[in-house]
Amino acid sequence: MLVGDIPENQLARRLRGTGINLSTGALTVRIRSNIQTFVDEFTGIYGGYPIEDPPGIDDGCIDIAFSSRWRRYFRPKAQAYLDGCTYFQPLPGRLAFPMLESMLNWCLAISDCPNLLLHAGVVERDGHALILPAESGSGKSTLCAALVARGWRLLSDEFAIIGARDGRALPNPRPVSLKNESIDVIGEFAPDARLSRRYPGTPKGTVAFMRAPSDAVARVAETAQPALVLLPAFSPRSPVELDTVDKTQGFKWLTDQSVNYHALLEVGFNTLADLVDRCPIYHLSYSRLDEVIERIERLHHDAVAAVRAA
Amino acid sequence: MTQSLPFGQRSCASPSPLLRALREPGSVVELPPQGWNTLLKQARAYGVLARLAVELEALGCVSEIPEKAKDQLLGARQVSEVCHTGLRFEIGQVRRALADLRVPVILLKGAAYLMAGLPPARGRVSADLDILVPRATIDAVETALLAAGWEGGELSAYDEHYYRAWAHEIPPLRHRERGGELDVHHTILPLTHRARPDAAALIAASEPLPVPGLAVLGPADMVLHGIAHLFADQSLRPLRDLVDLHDLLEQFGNGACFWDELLARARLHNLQRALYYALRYTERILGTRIPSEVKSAAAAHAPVTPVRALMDEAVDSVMRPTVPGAKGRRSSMGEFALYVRSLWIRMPPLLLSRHLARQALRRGTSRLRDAVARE
Repeated sequence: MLVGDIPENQLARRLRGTGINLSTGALTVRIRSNIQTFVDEFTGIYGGYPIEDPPGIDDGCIDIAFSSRWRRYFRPKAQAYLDGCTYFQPLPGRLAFPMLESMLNWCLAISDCPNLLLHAGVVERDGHALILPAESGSGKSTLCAALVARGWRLLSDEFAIIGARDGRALPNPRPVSLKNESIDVIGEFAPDARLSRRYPGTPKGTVAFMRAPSDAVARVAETAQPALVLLPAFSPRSPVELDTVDKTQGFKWLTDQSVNYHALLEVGFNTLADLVDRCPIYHLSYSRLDEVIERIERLHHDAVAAVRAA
Repeated sequence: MTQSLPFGQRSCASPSPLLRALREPGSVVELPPQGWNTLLKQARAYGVLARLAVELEALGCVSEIPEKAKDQLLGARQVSEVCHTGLRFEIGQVRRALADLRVPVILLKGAAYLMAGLPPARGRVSADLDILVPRATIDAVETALLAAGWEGGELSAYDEHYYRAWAHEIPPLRHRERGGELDVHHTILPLTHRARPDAAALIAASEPLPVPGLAVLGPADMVLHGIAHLFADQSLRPLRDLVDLHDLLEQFGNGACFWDELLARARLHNLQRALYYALRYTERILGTRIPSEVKSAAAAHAPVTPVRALMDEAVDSVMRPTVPGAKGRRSSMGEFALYVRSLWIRMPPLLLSRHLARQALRRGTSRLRDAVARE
């Protein structure tokens, strides 16, 4: 059953009551909320996602609730809880949905995940994954959204999950979070992209979400072999520039982008070493999306051909 | 990170399979999915998830556990192993920093269990390193640690005074580069505490580890330190601490003179009432095996019946795991009662009232400052 299959009033009642178990691929999370505007926005964005019914073992229970009883009426403040604990400052009630997104990221980051987690966007074409690791502000999400708008399959916007057993990228497609200027950039680049409303005033500025295409959600079980790693850096008015990254440097840099490399000990080392061994790594600076995407498509095509030849 | 109750008493699943799992780990294989949800969340919140994983592995029943639960259990065990590696390294660094002083460095709690290979170390996740040194050497120890890269945090003059004049430890140290917290103790309870454990006797009876320069408390003292922490001080993770005690008692309980030694050392350290409570509640809650003559000897120091009934109520409610996110009122009352009790026995009344007044005043002014900053 999909979230959108449940009639609206029933869904609101379930979210207020025992909650629903939302599956995003790598995670199944129990979600509850007593905030009506949140329920509407949640359905708008997660309508196409499966829910686990009857509920099984979940990876966390997220509550999005008014921070106190009277905060519902007077300058509403929302708080997000993961298994009853708070990790973030409460925000105005109208930002309840972005709080869910932050908490879903947090839930994965602290989940003792047995696979390697890299702070990265992941998209797939021709059965092979392109990994875009980067710090916030580098234009990773913008690039991810633009590639998805051009027909690449979205695996993940926030964390690359690299299987410890087989080195394949595990899908966890969730909405792509676009910040500030990049909302208009994507709006112009892909007028058909399904963007949420804008949420001004979050800790990261104005945020909007691009829904994950239904094809990406339907194919969560399909993992992908990584073929290429690009370290993007948006730089105004720059032409597309590519620099090969030395494997050792690349390895070091990726350990810094990993959430749980140290916690996985030799498993982390082997998984990352394998990834770096198999994939060419480049620094990529860009300013214009058309131009950079054409270049990425050529690079990826060559990388996939190399993997197949090997 | 704070606990809260967004949905009042309503819970994700039915209450407590955790105590059952601690008493009979093998029973978990029969749990339905909602039972697993409750167990995993409780075990994580109470800091015993990795311990449960280690026990299930030892029992050989990991293959019978649902995939999702197995991932969480084995993930937690992995984290505890990384933690142990880090702790071993930190212990080595402390030993090296203090080697020239030739003072006995006695490891306490998690570090002691780990280095002495004792059962509470299984799956134990402890971020801090606690050591005990003779009070006469504390200045030299602090100087040596500061020289080796540890540093104290910013403290108010009052907090500094609190530690130096009344506490059982110096202000916590943190390594400049590695960040792990190091607590240097000179005894096991605050100096203002009613019971005044004999620190010199603790040190005299300590037992050296194979690693030169390191020691741990003798078995009876080690148990009494756990007891002092849990029943005569403030414990942040009471259930985890009770599980530690249970493991130690089960381990040492077979030793020939352990129980006599335990009673004698409790008398020496003035911890007879705390020992009574510890034996009562480990047995009641975790099913620890305690010889009946030891129980009756300890019962000579039981409080009057109404007090014991109140204590039963408070301890039961604090130790009885609640579903995270649905903390009931009962447990908060129990917690509050135990907090009040811990303060009462910790400081003489006049000192206590001055301390509380100061804390309240400080909280008030900082809240006011925050409010002004927000507007």
